[in-house]
Amino acid sequence: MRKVLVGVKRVVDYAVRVRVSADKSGVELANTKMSMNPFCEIAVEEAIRLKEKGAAEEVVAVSIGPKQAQETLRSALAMGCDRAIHVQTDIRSDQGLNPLAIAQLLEKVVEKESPDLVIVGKQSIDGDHATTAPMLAELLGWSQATFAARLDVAADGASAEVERETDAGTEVVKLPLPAVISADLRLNTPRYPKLPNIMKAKKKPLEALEAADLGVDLAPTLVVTGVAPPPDRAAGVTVESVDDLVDKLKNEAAVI
Amino acid sequence: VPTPQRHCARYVAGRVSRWRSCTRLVCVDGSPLVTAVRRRRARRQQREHAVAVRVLFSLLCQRSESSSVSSHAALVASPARNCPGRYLAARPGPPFTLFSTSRMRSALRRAVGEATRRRAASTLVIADHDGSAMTAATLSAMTAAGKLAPSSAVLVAGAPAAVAAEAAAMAGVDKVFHVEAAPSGKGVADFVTAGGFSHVLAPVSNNTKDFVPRVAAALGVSPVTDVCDVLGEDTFVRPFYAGNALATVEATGAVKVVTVRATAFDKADAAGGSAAVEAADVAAAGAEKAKFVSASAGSSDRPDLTAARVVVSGGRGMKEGANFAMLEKVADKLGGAVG
Repeated sequence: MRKVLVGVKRVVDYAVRVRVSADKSGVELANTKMSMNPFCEIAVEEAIRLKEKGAAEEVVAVSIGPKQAQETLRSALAMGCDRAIHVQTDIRSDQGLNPLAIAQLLEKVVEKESPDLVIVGKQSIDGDHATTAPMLAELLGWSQATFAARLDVAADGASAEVERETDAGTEVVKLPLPAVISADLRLNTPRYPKLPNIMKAKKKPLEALEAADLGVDLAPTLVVTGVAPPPDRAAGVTVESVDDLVDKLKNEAAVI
Repeated sequence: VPTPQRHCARYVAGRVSRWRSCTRLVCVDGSPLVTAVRRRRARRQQREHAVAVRVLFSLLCQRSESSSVSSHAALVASPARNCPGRYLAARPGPPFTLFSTSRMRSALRRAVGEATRRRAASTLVIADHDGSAMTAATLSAMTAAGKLAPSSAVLVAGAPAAVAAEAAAMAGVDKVFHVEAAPSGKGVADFVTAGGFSHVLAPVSNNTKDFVPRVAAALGVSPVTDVCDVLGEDTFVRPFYAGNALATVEATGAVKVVTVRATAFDKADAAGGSAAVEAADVAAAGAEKAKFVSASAGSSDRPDLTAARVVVSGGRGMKEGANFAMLEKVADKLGGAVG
């Protein structure tokens, strides 16, 4: 297998407590800490492990987003990717950029790079769509394995065996390459880039493309008309006795 | 017209019948309400007319808010100044089409044409199953579909005929399409286009998360995933930022592909329906479909967390992991899941 393409996304850091903006048009993003999507980190780590095992020769990271997405790509390069591609767009990536547009932009990058495997995170922690991998696979006509918890590429590079997470447990599927894989939490534990690698990453090639030039319709078909915080949780009720609890569960909550 | 407003209705009817060219108030329950109010010339009568029209339209607004009529057409042949468009434009709820013109006949023809052209949503629910039985989450998808159209078609794909029979027994189903082989995304997309469906719904599950975005990509639309509320034909509410925010999304594509969070909608009746099962011609998935090798289910006779009726959950109050055994006992008694 020659080339692996990894999709990464710059999102709000997972530890940040998000707040809805005052005008209810979106989430307050100004001055919040942004970093790579955790599932994307797992995807990058898996691609680099494939390279270290000798199953892949080159790992290319791609990101769609504003100019600051280049910082995310530099950290992907610091983890061990060889090249990076930045698809520049100023459309708001948590609610303005539609899943179909993202899949179509990645399709154009795949046509340009011809990788044998595409690995992305299972979902981004801002949009929570979980649609990039299946939509990209359909546009390319490739097979897919989502929620991968273990990935084994065959020696001849023509097929891969993936252990997928399901609601009940896991299942193992075999799929032909080229394919699109989406990484779940248990796939691996991403490495922290060491300082020498961070310095080396500054010199690695990073290519910038304009999203508008790639021939994809970026006009949103899913328009977010309002964003609201979730309803406040009602305070809990302390009951005096077990009989009281059973009575409340039966009559008020209608659980029993 | 409800009782409190009856005296208003009589007032309006009284005012209106005093005019020489009479008007007839036609209220037909559940179908587009068409009212024609003719134009008056005299200034005093114009003022009366203005009052009558305002009362009439506030009645219509109240009535439409309480009923579930999907569309209204109001035909008012009156001067623009008296046009109650302001009320209708500011009012939330089902859309109103307002025709205001002095030419009655052509306006009436247009109104009738508009009412017949605007069809109700045509929904297709993709049933979720595990290969041998339908999951309870599909019943929640049926409830969500019920908010868009009174009855829906169901597609049972990649499952034996027993699952199709199960789907046919659900309430709110008008037809079940069954195809035994696992379909491709393009195949289902072609089926949706051929059937003229405006909405494709599915419950959120491991299988549908894999498959429904492929259908959406083949249809050329973005899917709306994990919807927790249906506000209208093209307006949905979905959580994002891990549930820290709820976004109201308007889907403007030709077909709306929606996956629905099962716990957000009550389950529809699983029995009582008797729809016809029809074989569907849907292209099967080709070599790109991943081959199943083996599965290892975490063995538990507890119901699945997403489909359980009762979920017992514990937190810091339990102090130690070992104390969760207490919760498991409660869950066993209630027949619930622990989560």
